[in-house]
Amino acid sequence: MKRVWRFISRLHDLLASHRSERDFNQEVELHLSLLIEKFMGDGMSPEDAQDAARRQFGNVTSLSEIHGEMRSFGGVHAFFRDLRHGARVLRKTPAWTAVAVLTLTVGIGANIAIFSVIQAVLLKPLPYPDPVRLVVPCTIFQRLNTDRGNDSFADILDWKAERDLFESVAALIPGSTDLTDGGEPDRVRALFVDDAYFQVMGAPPLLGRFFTAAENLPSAPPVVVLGRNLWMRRYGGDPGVIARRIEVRGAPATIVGVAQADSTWPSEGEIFQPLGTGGQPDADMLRRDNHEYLALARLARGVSIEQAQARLTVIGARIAERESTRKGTNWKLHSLAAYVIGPTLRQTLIVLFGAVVLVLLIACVNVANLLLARGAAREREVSIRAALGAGRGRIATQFLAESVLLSVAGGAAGIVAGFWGLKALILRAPSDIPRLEQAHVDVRVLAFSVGLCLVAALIAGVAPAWQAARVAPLQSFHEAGRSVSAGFRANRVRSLLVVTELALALVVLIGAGLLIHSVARIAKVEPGIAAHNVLTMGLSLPDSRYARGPQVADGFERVLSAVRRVPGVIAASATSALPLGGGGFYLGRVFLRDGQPEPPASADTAAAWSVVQPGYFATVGIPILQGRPFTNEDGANSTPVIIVSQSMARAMFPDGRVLGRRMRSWRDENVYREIVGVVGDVRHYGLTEDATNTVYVPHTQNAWRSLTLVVRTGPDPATVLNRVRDAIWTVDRKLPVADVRTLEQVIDRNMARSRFSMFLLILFGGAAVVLAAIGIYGMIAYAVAQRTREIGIRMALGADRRTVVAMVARNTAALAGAGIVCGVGAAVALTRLLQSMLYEVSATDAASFGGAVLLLLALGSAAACVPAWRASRIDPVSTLRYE
Amino acid sequence: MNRASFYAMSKGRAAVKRSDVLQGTLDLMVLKTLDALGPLHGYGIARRIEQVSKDVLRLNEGTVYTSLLRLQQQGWIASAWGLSENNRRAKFYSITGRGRKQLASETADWGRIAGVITRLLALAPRGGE
Repeated sequence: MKRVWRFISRLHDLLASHRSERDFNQEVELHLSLLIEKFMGDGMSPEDAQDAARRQFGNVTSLSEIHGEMRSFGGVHAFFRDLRHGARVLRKTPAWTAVAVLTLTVGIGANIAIFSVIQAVLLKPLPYPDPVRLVVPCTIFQRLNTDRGNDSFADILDWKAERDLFESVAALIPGSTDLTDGGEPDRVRALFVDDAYFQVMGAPPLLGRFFTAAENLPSAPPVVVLGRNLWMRRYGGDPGVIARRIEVRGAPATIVGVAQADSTWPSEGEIFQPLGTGGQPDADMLRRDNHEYLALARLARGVSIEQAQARLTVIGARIAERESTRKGTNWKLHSLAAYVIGPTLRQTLIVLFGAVVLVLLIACVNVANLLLARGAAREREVSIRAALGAGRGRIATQFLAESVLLSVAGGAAGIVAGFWGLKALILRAPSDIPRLEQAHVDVRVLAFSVGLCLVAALIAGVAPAWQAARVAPLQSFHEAGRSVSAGFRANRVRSLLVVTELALALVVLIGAGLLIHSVARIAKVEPGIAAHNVLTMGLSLPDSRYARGPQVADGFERVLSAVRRVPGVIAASATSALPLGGGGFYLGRVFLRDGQPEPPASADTAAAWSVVQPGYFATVGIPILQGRPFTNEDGANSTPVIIVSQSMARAMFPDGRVLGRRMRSWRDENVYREIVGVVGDVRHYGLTEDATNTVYVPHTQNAWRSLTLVVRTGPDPATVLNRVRDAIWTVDRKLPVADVRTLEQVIDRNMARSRFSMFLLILFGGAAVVLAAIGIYGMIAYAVAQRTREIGIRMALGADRRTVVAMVARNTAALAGAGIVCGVGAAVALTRLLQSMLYEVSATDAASFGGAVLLLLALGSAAACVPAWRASRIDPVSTLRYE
Repeated sequence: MNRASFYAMSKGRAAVKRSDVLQGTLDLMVLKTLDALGPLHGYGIARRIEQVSKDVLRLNEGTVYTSLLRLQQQGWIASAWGLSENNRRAKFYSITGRGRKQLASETADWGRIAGVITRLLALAPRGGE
């Protein structure tokens, strides 16, 4: 208690130290004047009285000093003094200081940028009420190797009944819809949700209300809820929109509410429509193999996700046993946060963070090394101070003060660098990283950077401070007085640091090398299409104007023939889904050959069902391997036909006779279709995904409303786009044209993440290598400078230049060798973390390791060249006079 | 702990190394003076000690301020600005509750130690060194 009191009192004095001093002077002055008055009252002359008063009072100056010290924290004041001294020392060597500060700026700035991203993407809780209770139940399909499959409605109904597990469970389907009232038709992202959805999300509406159970009935009059963004964008934030009737897909609907910003998921939903799943679901909806829905659930209070998972696993296993169509399936509960982020993104961010931490470590080691070199040069100064009675602690703190100054300067510059780095990073990043745009340098990031500075100061300052404190008062007089080679002990510490630096840099380099390899592999993947100059856009014909199949098919045919007439257009067609993850719908269906008995008597073959217009294969460049493409003769009333992909043909007809045979999608369409062609394989879901079995059917025989137009153009697609759009609108003024992209952009997106991680790792690897090169240069240059005299003597004794260079080279090689051995060892242990980010590249890929080692060796040798050359130029005569 | 620190504090690095005993006792005297006379400024305390000691103790009056600062840092006395006899700004010190408690315990200790020392010094010498 007493100590606390004294501490507070001193703290107060410290903050008000100039005032305390003034007070004290006033007191002394008063005391002296009262004494003088007293003595004069006793009859002394003013002069005598003054002398007597001073005698009686004692030495004012020394008293004042004593008080000053008593009032201060000795340590703090001394440290401020050290800081001032350190600042003076640093100012005297601006180039050296700039290198050290810049080094730390790079390290700290990179950390701030990446940590801001991690903070926004991984650490910050989702914006919904009580977000930890939000879970996404998914279906595990062992056959597809996924635990993120969609759910069947029957399953969702079962979960809704698990009242003690879930507070509420919602079914939803993300999609899009068109707003067609007035102005340009507008394609907006829609969420089709049941009435439980907003209850699960938990936030109240901004305006109006959400859906009732009655509105979720299939027969209910159509209503919509607007997302805040759409409300602001299209309706100007007008509170009067409630109860207004708008036109959705050509049909009237009533706005009943507006949802708050950040209160819905998936957050890109702009408009909400009832899913229409209320009432008594029909038999088709209750089929357990009808995996059409996304589910979102809120755990009951006090139920952990593990508990809920355990229960679901048991129930799911029972269903898998009972239903033949559910073999190899179960359920997986993802926390919403984990579902949003996905497994690879998390891994990527952790790897990037690891890389920047390594870069910072290298920066710290570099600064430590620079300080050590300087410290060694100042051994004489230190030893004199020690001889004059400076304690080890004092000497150590003085050196620590320098590293604190450096890291504070580096940290301040690093915050600025991190701020801009983050901006650049967000601009360059692939657009599909959730919440990335929210990343900014906030209080938490700042606190993190302050912590970083302290850690950096400690790491960089400890070795030099320790070294300085160990200087014996007299030893360095001997060493520095007439030394041959000084400070071998310090050199050992520094060598260790350089080796560390090289090893760390090598780890980052190897990581970058692996990613470069992986991206190169992805770029080499044959997409199975000819993507150059192909424009794609989404088009959806509303049932209000195109009521039935024939009208829809006719509508698309009219649109396509209008587009084909546009100058610059070489070919145009349409498909239900773009390859390579370009979006759209593939239906997962299972097939039987003509005459093949139904399962379980035989095994069916699964394939993705895709609907295309004539000319599709030619337009996107999928090769016809056998038979013919679809033509205008394949009409609604002609023979049902189908075209299969090569892999599908092999899977279903091992004997190779394919054309003219018949097959059916036995659980769904159940119509025998004649195979008229075999086409090349395409990767549907992405470049790095395996090609899947695919079947194509003509649009005339399976008229879907939503297709993606594909338009091959002669000139740059951008120059043709407006004319294509106008051509579409000559057919139907009210058709929204959505998601305009080129096929090349679609392919590009496949590589966006890998390429971005690669870009960042190359950046960090580059920084690491440059820092390591500076480190090795500093080390060798210093060693040469220190051994100038020794080298001079050797040369005087007959050593030639080559021997001297060889000596320096040996020195460098020893350092580099040790660094490479440690670095490769560490990389073998660490690159395993990268494996999930790599495509067809092993985490211990020899080429990447070798390349990184060679690069490091090259840079290391380059860095050692200058000092080696300088050593060989040493003039023996002048060095013998050197000191 | 209290006792030890009371004497030890006069041995801090800030102490004027003339007479430890005098300083240790100086703190006690200052505390007692403030307890007996109420708020006083430094000059008044010096006068009071001079008056009580009847010139037996020659006091370097500046050390009174060192003692005052020490006591204040312990929280045993408090200070406030006021007007002195000749109408000048002066800092007046007064004893705090904690100071009184400390004074009581120190007074008891002092009595004991003084007794021991008196008895020790009263022992008959057994031949010179």
